Amino acid sequence: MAMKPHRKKRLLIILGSVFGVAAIVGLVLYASEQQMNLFYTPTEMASGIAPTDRVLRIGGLVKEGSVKRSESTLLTTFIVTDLAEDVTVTYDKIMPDLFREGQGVVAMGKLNDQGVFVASSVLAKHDEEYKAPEVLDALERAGHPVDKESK
Amino acid sequence: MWIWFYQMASPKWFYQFTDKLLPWFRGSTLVLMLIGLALGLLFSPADYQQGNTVRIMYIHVPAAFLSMFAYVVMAISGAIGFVWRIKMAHIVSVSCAPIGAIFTLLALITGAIWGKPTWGTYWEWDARLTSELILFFLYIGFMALHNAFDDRTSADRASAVLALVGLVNIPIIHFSVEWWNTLHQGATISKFEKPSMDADMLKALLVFIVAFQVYFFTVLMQRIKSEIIKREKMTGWVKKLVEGKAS
Amino acid sequence: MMYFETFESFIEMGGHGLYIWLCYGIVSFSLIGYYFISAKSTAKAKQELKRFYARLDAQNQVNE
Repeated sequence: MAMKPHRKKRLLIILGSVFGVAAIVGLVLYASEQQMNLFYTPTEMASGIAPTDRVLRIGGLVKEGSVKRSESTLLTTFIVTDLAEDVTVTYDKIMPDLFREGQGVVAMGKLNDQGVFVASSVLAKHDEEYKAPEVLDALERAGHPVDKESK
Repeated sequence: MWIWFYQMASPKWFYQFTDKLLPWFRGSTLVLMLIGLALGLLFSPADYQQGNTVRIMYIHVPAAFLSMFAYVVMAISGAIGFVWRIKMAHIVSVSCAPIGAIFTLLALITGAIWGKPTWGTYWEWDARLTSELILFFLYIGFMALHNAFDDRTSADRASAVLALVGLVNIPIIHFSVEWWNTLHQGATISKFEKPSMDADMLKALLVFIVAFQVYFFTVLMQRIKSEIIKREKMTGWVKKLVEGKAS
Repeated sequence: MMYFETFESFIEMGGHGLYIWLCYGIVSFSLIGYYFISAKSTAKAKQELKRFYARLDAQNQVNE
């Protein structure tokens, strides 16, 4: 389609400004990548990218079999893993409903001198899998162990 | 094809066209919403992890989807109006804004209510939640800018540019959960593989997405109709329409 | 197949009833409300235009 010159000019102005703004926003987001992330992974904590002197968030999966609850207090100890590195976390308040082994978790707190992450709040992440409980039971009965760490 | 395009650009033709379509859209909205409610609340299972709170997803995801869809319609029709100076395109663009703002607000509110029992918090400044909040402010900014001008032509053009510039936020919202670590989970059904969702749950979600979409077009047409007659008040056909039959 | 066996369990939704019903309530209220607002806006615009044309016609008669 042949476009009249003044329309072409307007189209170019519009497209130019859109791509210009997209490029600027892209660069700003790329430069501030660490601020855009809600949490650090255990690997980032281990490699020293994460600051150790202030309150920060750590996110990952709760390692299977790692949750230990105190018998007298609310204190819970568990390991957060990204399947490469592990970080031990302690938390002394009530856990969210979806907190369970093999599921995602985001904890806010500080590393202490022993390298243990002392959390002041724990949030549960949930994955993008949606299943009926009956299906899961049936799968397990049929001898297909459900791989909870696949995601 | 081009004849159709030029016809669409005529407010009078568009008004009569939407008048004919509207009863069908109203009926379909009602039927689809009722089917969605039945599927979402009665005929779908609870989730193996979240229990019944998964039912919030059936309205949260469509609201979030429509909040972005309405924005894209608003920005693209604004651009068409800006480049080709088509009145009708600006009417569509301006009419999208309040509807999109409502969907954005509903996505934020249902997300917060869903977040409390599942994550353990109503709000967290993660990339997905923050970019959706920015979308809400873009809608508010669009409407405020449009209202700030006395001259309608300048208002249309200025807000069209704002809408287009803000379009960069849409891919950010969509990909935020992949680009950064977020509390929000990844996408389930936009993956090209088979969706990792129970068949009955998927049915409820898909029906609600279509229902919300049809609802969007219904209220959009209703808004467009009133916008057309307000803007075209100096034309003979509007005068005849208003004075002809009392409605 | 209906998921809930009793009406009580349908309302309670396994203890999460408040969250779920609140969400569905807010969304229904907003969508139904905006449906009527947008539907009425055309009728309202017509009423305003009627008065506008009446004023216009009166003015034209004075001028003539």
